[in-house]
Amino acid sequence: MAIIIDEKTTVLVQGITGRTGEFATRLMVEYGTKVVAGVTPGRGGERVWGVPVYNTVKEAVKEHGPIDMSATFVPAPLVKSAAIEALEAGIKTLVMPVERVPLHDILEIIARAKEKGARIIGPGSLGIISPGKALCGWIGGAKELAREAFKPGHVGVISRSGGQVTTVSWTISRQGLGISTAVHTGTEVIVGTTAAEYLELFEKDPETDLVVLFGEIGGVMESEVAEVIKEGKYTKPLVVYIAGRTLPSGIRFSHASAIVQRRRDTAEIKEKALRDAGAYVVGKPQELALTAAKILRK
Amino acid sequence: MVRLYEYQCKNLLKSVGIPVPEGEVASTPHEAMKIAERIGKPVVIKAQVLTTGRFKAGGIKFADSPQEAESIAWEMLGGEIRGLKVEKVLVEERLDVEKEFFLSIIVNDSYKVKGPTILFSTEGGVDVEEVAEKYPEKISSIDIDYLRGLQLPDAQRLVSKLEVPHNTVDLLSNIACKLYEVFVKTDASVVEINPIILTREGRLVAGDCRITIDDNSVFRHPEFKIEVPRDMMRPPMELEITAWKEIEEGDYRGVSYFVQLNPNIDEIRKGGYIAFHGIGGGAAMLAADALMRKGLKLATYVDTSGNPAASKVYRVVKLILSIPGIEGYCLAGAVLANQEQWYHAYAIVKAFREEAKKRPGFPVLILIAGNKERETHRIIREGLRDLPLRWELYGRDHIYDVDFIADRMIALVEEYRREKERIGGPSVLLEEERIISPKEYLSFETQTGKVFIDLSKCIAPKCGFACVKADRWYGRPCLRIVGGKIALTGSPEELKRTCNECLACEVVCELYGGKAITVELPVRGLEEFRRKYGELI
Repeated sequence: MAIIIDEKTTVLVQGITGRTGEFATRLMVEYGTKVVAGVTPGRGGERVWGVPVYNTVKEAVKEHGPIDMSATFVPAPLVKSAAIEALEAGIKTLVMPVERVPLHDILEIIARAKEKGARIIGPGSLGIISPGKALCGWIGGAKELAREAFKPGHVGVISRSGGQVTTVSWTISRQGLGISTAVHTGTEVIVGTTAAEYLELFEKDPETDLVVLFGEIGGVMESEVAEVIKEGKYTKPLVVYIAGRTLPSGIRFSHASAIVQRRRDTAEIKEKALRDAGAYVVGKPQELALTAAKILRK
Repeated sequence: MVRLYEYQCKNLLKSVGIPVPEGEVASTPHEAMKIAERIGKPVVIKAQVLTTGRFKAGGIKFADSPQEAESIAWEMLGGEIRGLKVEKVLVEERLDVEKEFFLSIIVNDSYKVKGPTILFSTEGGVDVEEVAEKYPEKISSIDIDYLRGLQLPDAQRLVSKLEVPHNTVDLLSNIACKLYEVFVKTDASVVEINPIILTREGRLVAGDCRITIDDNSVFRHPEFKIEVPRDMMRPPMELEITAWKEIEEGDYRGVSYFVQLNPNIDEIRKGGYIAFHGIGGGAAMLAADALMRKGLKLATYVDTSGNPAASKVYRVVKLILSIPGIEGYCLAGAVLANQEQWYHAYAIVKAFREEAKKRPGFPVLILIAGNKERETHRIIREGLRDLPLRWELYGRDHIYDVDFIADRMIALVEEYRREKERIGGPSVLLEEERIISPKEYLSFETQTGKVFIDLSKCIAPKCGFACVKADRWYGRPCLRIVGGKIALTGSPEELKRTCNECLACEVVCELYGGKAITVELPVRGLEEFRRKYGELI
């Protein structure tokens, strides 16, 4: 099992001939992901790490049949048109690793995906990995690190920080545990899939016994996690760390956003809501793995 | 997130047909007087600064005559409101307030919405967060389908949920729809009119307005003349502008973020500061926090992540090292990074091979781990070994050991300070070596710079063609061997596309004892900046 991606998932890479697209394709192919095709307009007919390149998503789908997932490795201002192209071609899961995507482009992509019943991971997400099966995006960076940091197992990992998804998973592996699926939600103010939704999927996944969440100040993601637990939509143990507690609200993490949200933005309030809901809240990132190990060994 | 000034916001409102008070912006007291004269009735003078609570801070004042308007403007202009310099004032007709409303459109990140939400309240003119806490029943809201937009019937529903004077429902709904137009048109993350004033004579007018533009969309809006799209409570400083304009704006290969935690270069110059450079948002926060808690003063908060090109990281490090008087550099990668860290390695090595001789004994502390960690550490160790620096290098065993990193940094900085006191003065004035056009050379342009190979200084095959090998390993093949000599693999156009600016060729050539290859990566304005502070060119 695992969630969203496994060894049977077929993947398309948009922007496959670009610097990052090529780098990620190599990683995915070497890791064992079924990368069936790539797209770069004007570069059709080439091959990148053995993967055939097409000019459009439609051509790729025509040649290979329905494709499950696309990774959009195109410059931020072009992400919207790439995403729409993929959605129009019937692809149901889009992994968007690129940062700096304009906000209203994200709003449109999310709205269109909703219309098509598709899922967006990101933008600004390193991607998703089900260890031993497949990965999409550039999570792990290289097959050696991906194999070392993400061992197969029964812990689900959700992280709002890209670097920390790998770091936390590595500390979990060092505790002799493994990962069912690990995912980075994305860097942007608004992302296609939030922690609450991943938790509902982990709830249904028989391979996942516990979930670890690396949270951050700002936004409502962690507060909604507490709600989902209270509503009984997630019943397995959850271990959480929230970064940014001691930093002044400032430069990078202040979303100049919602009044209804602001009250729930701080680490203190999020931690309290999560504790009240029954989650295990830890004070240091290194305690995530230790606590998970303690709970699972009980 | 970039906030617009009130007068810019009001111009935008006006452009879609939302009524605003009669008025204009002024940069001089005389202009303010003229505007008040034209309005011909009592006016209000509003300082144009990006802060809330202007009234309490003396940034909003009333004038009964043009002369009074002039003298108020004279007091405000050039002064400060909550630490922000006033360069413009808005002069507007004074309104007779009957009632005040509030309208705001935000981006709602709730998983149930993930789209715009519009909020309306009958309690305008006050802090709406407070209203939300105390009288939640006086706020109504509607989630907007982005593909459909905000339609008039939706807006009417929004307004009618609360008790408003009957004849204002349509007017308010109309304003709501037009405000949504502004939200979309400006790529805003927040638009807010607070208050919407219902005047005694029954007009509805936007009293104050706040618009925040999404950082990532600023490139679509040259009309706002935003120099640096970063969320800051002060104007961007010279180096911050350079970091954005010359390094980040046009280069989408990874992300670089550069902020001066202390904007005052003259103060930094007096000593006591180190430069902070993190890798990845989460890790950078963890590390910066630990360093500050231990009492280190950080001149910068820098973050390079998302697998940036080595050339980008190199430029950022050069920028950091341009800050006069810093007493150390800390690269704190408290993370098992997914990005190929060797690009950071080559960037650091190239930067310090150029800079080290100007600042003997300079403390450099590097924590770097993750993808290609072993190679990364080897590159750094070999690249810094012969330099006159005081450097230490740590890897994955210390990822979450930020307190240890802070302690080591403090120790290095203290040693450096003692040494400086002993031998006096840190900087050695040295001009960078200029390249004199040699007879035999190869060169090609890269995406953001130029590779220059002086064949008369090439020591191949003694080095075993190290540059060709490195090029294959770390970058993409630009160099090859033809008849025992270095040659290029393609035409200038091809090479420009092929070269990923990994900087490996230059560094390995130098480490093998040659000095044939230079990757020129200029940062416009940096040399002038350094010259201005008279050192370390």
